[in-house]
Amino acid sequence: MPARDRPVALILLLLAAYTIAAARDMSYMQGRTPGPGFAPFWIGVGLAVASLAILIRRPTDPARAADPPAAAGSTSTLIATTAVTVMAVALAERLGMIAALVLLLGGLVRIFGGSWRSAALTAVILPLGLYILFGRWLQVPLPRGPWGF
Amino acid sequence: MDALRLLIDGFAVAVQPPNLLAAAIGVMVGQIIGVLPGIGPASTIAILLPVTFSLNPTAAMIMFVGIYYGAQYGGTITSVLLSMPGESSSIMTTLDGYQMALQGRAGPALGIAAFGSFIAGTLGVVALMFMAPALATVALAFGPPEYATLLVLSFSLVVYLTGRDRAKGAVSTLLGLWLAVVGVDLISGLPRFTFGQLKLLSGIPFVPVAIGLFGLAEVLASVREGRAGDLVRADLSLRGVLPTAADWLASRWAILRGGLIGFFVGILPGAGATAASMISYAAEKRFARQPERFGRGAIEGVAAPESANNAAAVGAMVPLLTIGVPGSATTAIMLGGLLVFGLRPGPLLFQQQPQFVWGVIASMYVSNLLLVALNVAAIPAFVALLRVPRAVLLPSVVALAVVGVYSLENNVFEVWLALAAAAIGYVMNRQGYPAAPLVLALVLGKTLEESVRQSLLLSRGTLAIFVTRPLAAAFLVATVALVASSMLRRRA
Repeated sequence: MPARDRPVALILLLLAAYTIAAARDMSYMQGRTPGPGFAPFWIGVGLAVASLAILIRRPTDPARAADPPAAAGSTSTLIATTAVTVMAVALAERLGMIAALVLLLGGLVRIFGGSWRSAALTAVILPLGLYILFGRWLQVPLPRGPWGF
Repeated sequence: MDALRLLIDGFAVAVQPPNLLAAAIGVMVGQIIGVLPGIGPASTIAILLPVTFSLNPTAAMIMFVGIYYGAQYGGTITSVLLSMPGESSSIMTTLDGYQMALQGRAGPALGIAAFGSFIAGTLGVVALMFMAPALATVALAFGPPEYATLLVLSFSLVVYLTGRDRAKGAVSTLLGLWLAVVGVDLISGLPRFTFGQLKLLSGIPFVPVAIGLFGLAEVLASVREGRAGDLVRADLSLRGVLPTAADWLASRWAILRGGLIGFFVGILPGAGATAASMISYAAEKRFARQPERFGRGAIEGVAAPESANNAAAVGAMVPLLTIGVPGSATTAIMLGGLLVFGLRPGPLLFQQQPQFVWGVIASMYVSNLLLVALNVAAIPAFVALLRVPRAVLLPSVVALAVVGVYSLENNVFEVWLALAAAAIGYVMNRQGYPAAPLVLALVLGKTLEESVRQSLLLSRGTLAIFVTRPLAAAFLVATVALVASSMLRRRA
């Protein structure tokens, strides 16, 4: 087993144990038909078997163990992408969806290496387009911020 | 002849202006996302689902099919000009297509891919037209035991055929089933794995998970891999992309064999267009008089996989429409969309909604025609798309996904769910866990549980019902054979 498989397999095994334990608290059979715990129990058992199979096997194929190469600087880009996206979603109801999208797009275009000009253009044009599509055409009540949009 | 009459009725539906427009938008969007590496048809359909809820179901499905189809065509362009498949189903095309481009024959490579896709796709639709109603008639005899065992067989096939690591495929399927049982149990009323969250009582909604797992996770994956490449310069004028008589002669059997292999592989759950293109490439190489030409710019090496991936996209519609069992992530998302529209694909759909079914089938002919025209006449326009900076494209996908998911329930909770699914999808991608089985199991998990419960209710709790009914027994035997062969092969 490639070493990088182990932590995830262990987490899956824990999830399997939790699922089986939770299923035992639900009813397994109700009369002659499966109860609410029937499916979770067997899903838990299946997860346990599959994650154990991953945990105990030996590496047989070096290609399988190889992690695909990451582009230079990709980790910091990923962290920044996640942070900006989470922040924009968290602020969507306070600032309004359009303002959150402006922040999201402006931030992400810069993070992905775009110029200030493309960041500004994208952050203006796309939220406007999305507002027309969702807010006007599809009549979705997008959250509004203190400035009325 | 009944099929022909129904098809004519279907054409009357397909050529209605809203449906024609849906087909045109679908093939255009599909072609565009096929050209752009990093975004696939599954993620696009998932992201566009909320937008299509304002359309009628026929137009929406026609658009989805157009996207699926268009993506198979579009993926070729980057394979040939960049040696970078726009879609996984165009991976094999890079081998000979890029070599042809380096030899100054990018035009004929793209041309034969377009014509081959058109011929194989159209033959696939003909096969679908005659096969689907027959299969739907057989499926009418399905009861809960048949559905339960068929779903178990489908999940096993998906695990068997998706990816190289079957244990990870099994984990992915089981995670999907786990997510499917979240929410209130409809029979007992007991909440399961809701962790006190009221919003989870009605279960995990499918669309945010699909958008997160495919759309957003794909963005994260392409950030990590930093995909880029150099475009090969080529004559892409109308004359430049038309294959010569010698090209046609060399490719004719490859197109037919690719179409045949693609259609039947496409029917199998989990196999999909990628497996079809790989198998047809391998078959063509085996049939070739000079197999050493493959990988060095053999036109058959482009014609076969490209014909196969289009025919497979049609083949994948057979189990979706006839028995309501999708064979791939893309068709699983289509099924999820149809369920939202209140349509349940399956044998009864052919009886109760013939206009819908035959309208969609007829639209496939229309989409094929539109696509071949687009691919012969407008390749330069699509090549220009490759110049859209990644720095603008990827954030746009994220923004569309966020607003699209919000619009489902007008709630940020779904957006958080999509972000969580994106994180899980990213980890799965890094760790080699395929995402498609999870989506299939999430869509079909409740049906499986219901079918097992109904079966045991019918049999008063005895499992014998799964082996005493011939079809159910046949599905079980096939499942056992599949699992056994998988285990034996690993030991060998």
